[in-house]
Amino acid sequence: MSRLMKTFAAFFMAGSALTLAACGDTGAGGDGASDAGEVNIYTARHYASDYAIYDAFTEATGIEVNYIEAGGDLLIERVRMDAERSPADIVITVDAGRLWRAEQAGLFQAARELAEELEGIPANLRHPENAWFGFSTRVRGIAYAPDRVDANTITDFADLADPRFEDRICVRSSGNVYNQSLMAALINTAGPEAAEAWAAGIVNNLARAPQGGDTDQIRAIAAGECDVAIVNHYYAARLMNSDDAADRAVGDAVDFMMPPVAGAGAHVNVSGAGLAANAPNRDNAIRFLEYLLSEEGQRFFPELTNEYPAVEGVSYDNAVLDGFGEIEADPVNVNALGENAAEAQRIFDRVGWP
Amino acid sequence: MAQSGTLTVSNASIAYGKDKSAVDGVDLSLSCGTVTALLGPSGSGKSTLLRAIAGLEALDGGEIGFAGEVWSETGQHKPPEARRCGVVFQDYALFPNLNALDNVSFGLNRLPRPERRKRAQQELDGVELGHRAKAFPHELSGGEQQRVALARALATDPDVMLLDEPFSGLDRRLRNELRDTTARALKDSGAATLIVTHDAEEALSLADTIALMTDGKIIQVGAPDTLYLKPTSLAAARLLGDVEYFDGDVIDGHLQTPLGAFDARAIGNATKARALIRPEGIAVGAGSSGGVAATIVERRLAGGHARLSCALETGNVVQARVELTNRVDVGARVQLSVDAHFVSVVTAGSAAS
Amino acid sequence: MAVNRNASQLAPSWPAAIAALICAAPLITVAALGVFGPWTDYMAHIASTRLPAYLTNTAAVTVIAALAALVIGAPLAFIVARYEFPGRRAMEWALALPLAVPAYAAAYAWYDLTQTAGPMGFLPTVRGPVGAGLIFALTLYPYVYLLAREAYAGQSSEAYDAARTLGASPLGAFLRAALPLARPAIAAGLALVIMESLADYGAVAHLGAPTLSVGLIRAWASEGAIADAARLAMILVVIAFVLFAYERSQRRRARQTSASGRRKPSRRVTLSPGPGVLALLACLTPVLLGLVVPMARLGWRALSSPSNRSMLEAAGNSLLLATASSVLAAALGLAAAYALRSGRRRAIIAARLAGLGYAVPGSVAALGVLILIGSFQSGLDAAWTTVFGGAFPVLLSGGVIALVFAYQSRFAAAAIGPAESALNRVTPTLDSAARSLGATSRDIAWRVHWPLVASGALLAGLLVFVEVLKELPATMIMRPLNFDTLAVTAHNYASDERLGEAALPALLIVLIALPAMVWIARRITRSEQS
Repeated sequence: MSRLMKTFAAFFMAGSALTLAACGDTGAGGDGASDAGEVNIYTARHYASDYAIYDAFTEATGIEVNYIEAGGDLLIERVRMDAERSPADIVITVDAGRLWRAEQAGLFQAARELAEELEGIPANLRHPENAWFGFSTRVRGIAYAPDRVDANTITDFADLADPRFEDRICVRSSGNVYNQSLMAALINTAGPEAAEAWAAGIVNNLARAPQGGDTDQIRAIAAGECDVAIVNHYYAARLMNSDDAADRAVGDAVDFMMPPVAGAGAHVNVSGAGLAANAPNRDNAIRFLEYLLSEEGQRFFPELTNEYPAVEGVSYDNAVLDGFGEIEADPVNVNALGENAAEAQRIFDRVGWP
Repeated sequence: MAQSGTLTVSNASIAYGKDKSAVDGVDLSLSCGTVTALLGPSGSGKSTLLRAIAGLEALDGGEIGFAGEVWSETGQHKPPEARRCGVVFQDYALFPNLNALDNVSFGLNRLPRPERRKRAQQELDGVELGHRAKAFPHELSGGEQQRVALARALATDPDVMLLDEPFSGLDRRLRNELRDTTARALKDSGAATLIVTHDAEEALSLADTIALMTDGKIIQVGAPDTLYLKPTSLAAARLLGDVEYFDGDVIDGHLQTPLGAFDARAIGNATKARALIRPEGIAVGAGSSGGVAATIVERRLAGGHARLSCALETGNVVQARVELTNRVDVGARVQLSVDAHFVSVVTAGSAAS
Repeated sequence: MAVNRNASQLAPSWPAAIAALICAAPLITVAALGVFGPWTDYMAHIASTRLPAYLTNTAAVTVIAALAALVIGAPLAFIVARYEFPGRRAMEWALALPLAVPAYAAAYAWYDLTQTAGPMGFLPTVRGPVGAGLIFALTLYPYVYLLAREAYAGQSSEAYDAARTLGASPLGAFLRAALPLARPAIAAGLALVIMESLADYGAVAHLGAPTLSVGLIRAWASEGAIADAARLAMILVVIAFVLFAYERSQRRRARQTSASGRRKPSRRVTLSPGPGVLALLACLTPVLLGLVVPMARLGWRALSSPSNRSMLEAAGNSLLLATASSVLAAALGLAAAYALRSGRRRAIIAARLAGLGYAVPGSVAALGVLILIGSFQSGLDAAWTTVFGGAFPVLLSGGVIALVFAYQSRFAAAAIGPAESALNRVTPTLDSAARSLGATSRDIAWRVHWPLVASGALLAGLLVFVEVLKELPATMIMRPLNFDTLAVTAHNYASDERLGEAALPALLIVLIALPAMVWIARRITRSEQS
């Protein structure tokens, strides 16, 4: 018996040593002022653009970027559990809903030093008190088969609930945060009753049970399973930009539009960042966020992941995005999307959108 | 009732690996209504032969057939389920998830359910286990398990019954009891029965015919008493019980041994011969009764008899088996005489020593 | 469970119970969260809307997964254990390999292949509860196969032979005699299949078969309703608990004692060429469908859009975590098995609780660990402040040790099962015999028990090794900074709908698991020969 205990103790020691080795200098060091050559980022993103930004930032400033990637919900819980001991400097999520919840949980502090940079971001893409801000945007739009759908007949997302689209729509599951966000925007503009009626109309028009991701919905159009699909713009852009001939053929078979949602403008969601309330490396975090919002940092998003930069007036090189044309965005503050997320999911549940 | 017919095994061979044969050119025939015991030491291939008859092993050579129909030959194999063979396995192989009744009715699934249960119950009654129908195998004693296995095999009314060491896991008293139940049940079934055993007593008491097997070969077949009294080789003699033997040359139709001369007219003069003598054929008489003089060097009890070790003047020591009432003490001088019924004279070297 | 009060028996119930409790702690935390957490109207809302659909999907997915895994795993285990045919040796371990394929990876690949526009669009699209159930069966059947194979290898074939002589066809004899004999092993394997299907999120979400675990993730994601998510998780735990209680009661009723003590494994029957080829094909089919086809699809995608990040570090991290966890899991699995053996009620409850963690979705289990470590940390901090001043010098969350701990609670069931069945081989009479020969407890443990349970402990360790290689949610949230694993990398790409880049890490997982699988198969083969 004592043997077992000893083994246990030995393992614990070994494990602790590992822990120390793994996060020895990133951990509890509260005095970020001393050598602070690093910044710790908790992110729900895992894209090529991000790695490029980390590398470029380190190159430019000598500050090491440490990161951990996980789902937004789990990230929020981890920062919350670690409280003032949390090593997190910056929290990044892929939708406004999670940012809203993190802010509600008191995980952010305002980054006043960034006031100037934040001016470059449209007011509706950041928190009213600048507790967090969007740094790249994605548009939820409609992919369609140009040979089967007359683009002029779709002037608004509301049209998709029309019976003429019966058995013609593909869309992924309602558990997906992009769908929730779209619904949250609709609730904001048209009110919950109209939003629920719309959702019921979509369910009625589904060509097949929701399955797969956005890319799979576009493939389904190409295969003739459905005529229209609700997808994020960059999935369509990725297929159209693809090096793979088969994928490009799928991309070529569809067109993409970004119609307004209930007359309010196209639905835009953000990837956003906030400065952690207990950031141990606050200064470096500020420098990172500055870099993120610089023209150099912003260009990575359109050029590597087909996202739109949040900062206005950034020039970039991406023919497909240019082809999508100007976005007439819904002026709603994305913060409202977070507030409506719960209601959106309940509507989906009620109308039976799987 | 089972149809009449004969199971014939001719020149059957089964090889394990490249040059190890488990069964080596065996001939055997089993008639309906008779019980044949296949007696041999462990590893002699007798279980393999049984499995081959059941169709659980394929033959590498030879043939097995029943009533004119081929069951096994090289390249042809009738599956076990088509053979109408009942098998009682050494470990009984009762299905642990089924109770006694369901075990017995396992093979009857072509019958409608009520009839199946009725038949199974009858079979259980037949082995005096009607009252244990609902018991699971682990709740049954060893003897009860054996009887359920027997009833299960008999339930399908097989043409051939094969029993692999059916009493080996049981204690002696139980064994004697079960032997009678089993013998009766087998007789009633009318099937051609083969019992594989390494226990000579079991073979002698149960079988109509005994086949002796060593090293994959059948060395002698015959009625129990013939085999016991007139074995054709030392190996055969030893399989059935204790034996004394003396080698010598045949002279004038007789074989001279330290225990006297025995008739060897069936064997040519001047050939090497061997006398095989059962201990109970050696009578121990008082000092003056005539015979071969000997001294008792040891006396032991063995199963209701006394076994005497007798030192001859030639230096040989032989075992004699006498009644317990024959009180001869160690050191006594006696005269040994041999009953010729218990002597078998065979050609020495004809079969393996 | 027979209560054994035999004084000579070695059954260290307390340390074992403590070990089991450690594994059970996160589950208990989640349960406490469900009980004491704030109540909203969410439960009423979900009960009146999606809950029935979640429950039907859950039932459909698990039943299909279990049935299909049974149909694939058990007969192949029998064929491989009893017959000799060309390629049998390779098939022995190859059949275990699909276990190394993460279910979500197989789901992404098969969906990609069979959707209408896909290269295998002529097949029905793999989707919905049926598709998800089949994906689980194809990637999880090795649990049934491995455990059943070990059972068949240790048994004589007499029951099967007896059934044949009683007129049963080969299939009938297998179904009616051989299958019931391996029942405890098969049931244990199916239990793992069912638990993992219950806990999965990625595959069912992608294939459009929202089960209860999808529902509880949504509760958390859309409303931040953690307590409600915990409540829904408890439904999963209750389902698992009821299932196992039923299974155990059945097993007790028809106890699997063989008719007599003697058992000799039978010689393999050599199949003639025709059936031999059929047997080989039967073995190849699940390996193709569960491993080769999905991996080939991912590999093909990888060629068209290769990943340019090095996987070396992630592979090293995966290996480190899997190795450390599997060693500890083997020890804890054995400890829990001893707890079960002790027959003491408290110890048994602790061990059974520990096993249930497997049915909880990984992210919820991770949440339990987070909360637990959080409270442990504040306790440590408070104590440290009183004695030395300042906070405890080590932050527990985000360390390898927290992660390894999370794995233990998550995969205890996979570790306890094999350890328990190995320990079943150690009969109380063995202990008594050893005691009568003057052996101390320590002697008994090392000279009697260990040689007998070693293979079971090894199997437990290796199963956890493979599980940890595939594990996602706990790894994601508990890992230290800059600490990627293969599973995390694969999932990040796949969830971003970049199958090609997900392929390399997924293939690496399979490659790393390969030696473990071969080892498992070898080990079983050896125990079969001894």
